[in-house]
Amino acid sequence: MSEPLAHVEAARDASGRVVLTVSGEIDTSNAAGLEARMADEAGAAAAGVVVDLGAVTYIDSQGLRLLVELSRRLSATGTAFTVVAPPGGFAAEVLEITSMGTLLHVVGELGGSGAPPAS
Amino acid sequence: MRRPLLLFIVVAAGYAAGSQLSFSWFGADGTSASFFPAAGVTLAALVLVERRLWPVVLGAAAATEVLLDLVHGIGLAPSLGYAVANTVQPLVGALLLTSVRPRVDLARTTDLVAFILCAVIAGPAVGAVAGASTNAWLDGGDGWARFAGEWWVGDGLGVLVIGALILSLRPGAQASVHARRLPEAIAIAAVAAVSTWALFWLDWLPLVFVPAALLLVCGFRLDTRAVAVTGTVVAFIAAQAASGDHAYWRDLEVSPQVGLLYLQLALGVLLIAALAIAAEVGERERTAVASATAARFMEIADAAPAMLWVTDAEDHCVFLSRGWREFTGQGASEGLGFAWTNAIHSDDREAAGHGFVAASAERRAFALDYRLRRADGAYRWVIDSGRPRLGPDGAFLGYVGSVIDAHERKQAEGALTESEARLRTIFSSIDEGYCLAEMIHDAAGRAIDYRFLETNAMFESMTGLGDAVGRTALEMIPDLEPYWIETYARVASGGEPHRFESGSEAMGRWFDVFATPVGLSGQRFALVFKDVTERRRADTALRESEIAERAARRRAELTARVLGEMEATGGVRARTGRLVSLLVPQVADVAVVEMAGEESHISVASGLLPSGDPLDEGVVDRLEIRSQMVVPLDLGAGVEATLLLGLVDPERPAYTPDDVAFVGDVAERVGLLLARARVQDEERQIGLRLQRALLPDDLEPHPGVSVAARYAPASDVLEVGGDWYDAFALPDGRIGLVVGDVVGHGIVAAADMGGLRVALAALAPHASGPAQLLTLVHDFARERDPNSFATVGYAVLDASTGALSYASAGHPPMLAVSPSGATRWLAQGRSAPLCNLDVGDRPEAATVLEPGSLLVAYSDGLVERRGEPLSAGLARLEAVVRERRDGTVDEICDAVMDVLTSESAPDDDTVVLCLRLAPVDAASLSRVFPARPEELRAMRAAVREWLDAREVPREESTGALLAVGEACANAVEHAYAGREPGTVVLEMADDDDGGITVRVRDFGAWRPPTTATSNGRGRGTEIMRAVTREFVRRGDEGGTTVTLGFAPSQRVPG
Repeated sequence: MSEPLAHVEAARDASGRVVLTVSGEIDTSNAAGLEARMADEAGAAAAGVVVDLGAVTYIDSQGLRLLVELSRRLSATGTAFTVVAPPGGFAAEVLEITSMGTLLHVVGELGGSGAPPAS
Repeated sequence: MRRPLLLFIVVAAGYAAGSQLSFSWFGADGTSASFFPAAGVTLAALVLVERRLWPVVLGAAAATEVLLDLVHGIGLAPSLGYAVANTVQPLVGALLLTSVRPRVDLARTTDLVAFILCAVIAGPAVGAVAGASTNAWLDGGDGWARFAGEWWVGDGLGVLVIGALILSLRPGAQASVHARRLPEAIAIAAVAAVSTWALFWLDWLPLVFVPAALLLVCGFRLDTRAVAVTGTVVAFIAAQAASGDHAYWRDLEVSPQVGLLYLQLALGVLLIAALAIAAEVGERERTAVASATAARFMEIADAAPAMLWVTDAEDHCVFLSRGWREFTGQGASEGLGFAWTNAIHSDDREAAGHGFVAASAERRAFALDYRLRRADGAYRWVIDSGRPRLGPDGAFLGYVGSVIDAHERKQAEGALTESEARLRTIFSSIDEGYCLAEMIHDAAGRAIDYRFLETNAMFESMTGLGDAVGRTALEMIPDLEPYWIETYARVASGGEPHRFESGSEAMGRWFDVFATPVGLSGQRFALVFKDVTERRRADTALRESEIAERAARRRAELTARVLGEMEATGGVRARTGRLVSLLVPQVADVAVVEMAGEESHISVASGLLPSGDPLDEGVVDRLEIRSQMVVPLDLGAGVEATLLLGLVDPERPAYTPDDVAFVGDVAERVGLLLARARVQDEERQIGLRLQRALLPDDLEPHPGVSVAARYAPASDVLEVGGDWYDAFALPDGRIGLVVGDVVGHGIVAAADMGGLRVALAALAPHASGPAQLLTLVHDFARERDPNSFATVGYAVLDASTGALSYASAGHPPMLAVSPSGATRWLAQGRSAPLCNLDVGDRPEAATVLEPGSLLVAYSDGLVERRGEPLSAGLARLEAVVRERRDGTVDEICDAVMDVLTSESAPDDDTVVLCLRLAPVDAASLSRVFPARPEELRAMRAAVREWLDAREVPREESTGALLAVGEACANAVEHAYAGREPGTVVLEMADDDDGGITVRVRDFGAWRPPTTATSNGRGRGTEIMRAVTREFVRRGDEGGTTVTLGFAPSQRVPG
């Protein structure tokens, strides 16, 4: 097996949010693994969780399901969940195609605050 | 003839002389008969010659008598009478004398007495009677008694004087007139002559005592010869005187006749006395000498250490010296007679006796070897040599000899002498030829000839060379091969015996010769040889018969091999090919079979043609054929062929009539085989035509595939028929593919095949799948012919999707080869062949062929080879197809047939069918991958690349990638749930309007699409629906196909 399909880096920003930066591709082959990993990282965060999909080159329905699941779990604990999908990126396109903006808090950039990317 | 004539003349002359003297002295008037010397001539002649010549002597005397009598005036009748008297008289005398003394020697007293009694007294007495009778009765004479008396005395004196003279003077008579006494004899004769003459001419009677005394002196001192000579002289002078006027008788006072009578009587008595004295004295002298000699001899002999012996004329041993007696231990007289031979070794006795008797018979000297027993009982080799003893008169008296102990020398001579002698004895008696010879050299010392020194009897009878001893080989055999001389020279000089067998053309014989050197001279050699001509002839005959037998065996083997190998081959061409290749080089260097309408079969021994020279019909002309034969081959039905055999190799003997007969015999049987092959060939042609007629010409079942097939009949005519292939379109647009093999051959199998092929094609549309079709066909075949047996491979291909389902009834698996070279044996879906058995449900299998893939079906004839496992044939097929996968299906079929049937002619029918699924357009993407999640990433990379190549705008490409990804992920995730993952086929192609059509296929379980979105799965469908202008999802038990249609790009590229 070559390089893992996707990579996740966890960090905290100035406001104390957990920032999970995902790179690579997300499909059915790694969705479950990513989901577990990201839930782990997010579990300890109270100030909120940010998932940065700017470096994701492919994400399919399984990836979206992962995001929805993570969002559902965090919302149960009242933790803010933000998806960063830079406009023009693959994730932004997929989110747009699937109208996921209605279900998730999607921002265009990491620093952004809730405003969804313009369509 | 000459001797009797000479004798006649001598006797006649002597008689004439004596008679004429008598006439001249005393007249022929018949009144007086006196001293008649002729009578002595006749008698002496008779005594001296053999009796068979007596008629000549007597004839001469009678003829002369008659002639003289007639001349002297005596009448014919008295002449004849006197002639009779003068022949009867010596005849009687000679007969009497020679019968008592065959060889008269007057020096012996006994002989002298016999002479006087028989010849001088008895003979003339008979003659006197006859003469007197003739005188009285035929000649007119008177006084018979007086005439007879005078005749008796006159003729008696004539015989006494002349007969004694001739008999004593004849050569070889008597022993000893001592030469020193010859002058004395002459002197006495002279004095006697003179005194006799004086007696008569001086008329002084007392002188008569002088010749008388001299005669007696002669008798005492000399011998009978001297007496005879002196007596003759005296008698002749006295006769001469008495015939004249010297009347000496007057003093005696008697008549002249009486006087003459007295004179003659006195002379006769005197002569007889003198002769008797001479004989007696001579004998006594000789006896005295002899006994003295003998005594001296014995004395000396006894004194000498040598063994000496003496025998008498009768071979009795009369003396053995002391040396002998001491050596042998025999007593003084023990060995006398023949007893001396008792001392000879019994083994040698007979040979010694024979040698002695043989020598004695010829009165010659001899030397004998024998072993003599010594007094101590030991035997010693001695040499006994003897010389004949002869009396003074030359009479054989016996032998005198000596015996020498030669044992030491004999021993010293050693085994050599003995063995030589023995060898010689052996050689003379053996059946082998033997000779001893000596080389002859020329001036340069080169052996040029040899001389025979000794040979035995067999030598002559074997070589035919008679009297060889002393002659040279080349004298006897002028053209004798030099080889023999050289060989013998080597043997003689080399000192080594040599045995060899060789023939002489000059002699026309073969000999087994043992040659050995003899002696140290280096020149002599001995040969012992046997004539082996007959044996060699027999050997040659045997060898020839062996050769003939071997040849016959070889021929029989060749015949069996030719016929056997031809029989094991099918078809006229193949059989003819075997024929010519088997005949070379066994019986020919070149073999050609020419047949009307056929290419000639030619076989040429290796090395005869320059490499690269074509093996065509010109070969026969190009090769230098020294011997050839052309034999017809009858193939029946008027088909004629010829077999030509030729020899090129100069070492090989030319063809004989025997060879031709052999080849003719083979050709006859070959003809039968070829005739049978010809009939089979015809059957095969019919079978092939039928087979070909029953196989489809054109295989174009579907535009999405290309199909080619090949059929190759078995090389053996009997194996033709039964294999088939077919490809047809089914009503639903799919393609049915068949390859089958009806077991059985020939026209019947071909017909069965035709039936099955049609049935299968007819039933195919009604079958739900391959397995069911096979069941249907099975039932059909069983009903049609319970004994039929076939294997069938059947596949149904959807050319548009590559979906393939297949089943095999005992048929070898089809081969699938992807464009990249990946190969797969479609080895599932197997069940029993079509036969008269219940097989039950047959399985089938499904797979998908990548676009551009090849599907190869075949019959077992393609991959089965004698002596190798099936896997080897399959591997070969796999390799060939993979290698040639880029060619057209025709090319691939050809390559497969070429490679898989090239190594040996196929034993069985062979079918190969090759199908290519149309490849996806170059502009399209086609990808087949296992249904595993990890495969998706590579799939997406390919899709991305394909989309990028089309410069699809970013937003659109994302959607397309997403939709394809979803479709594929779906297939991966669901199609093979709970099963071994199958494959997923992804195809993307441009649409005519610039849009894109994507097809994702799997072959798993159909699962109705879900609309639920709770777990995100429904979202995938939503995505696909959202980004496509067409979204079709179709599926059944065979799998699911998702078709995605994308609208043309909304943006201008670039």
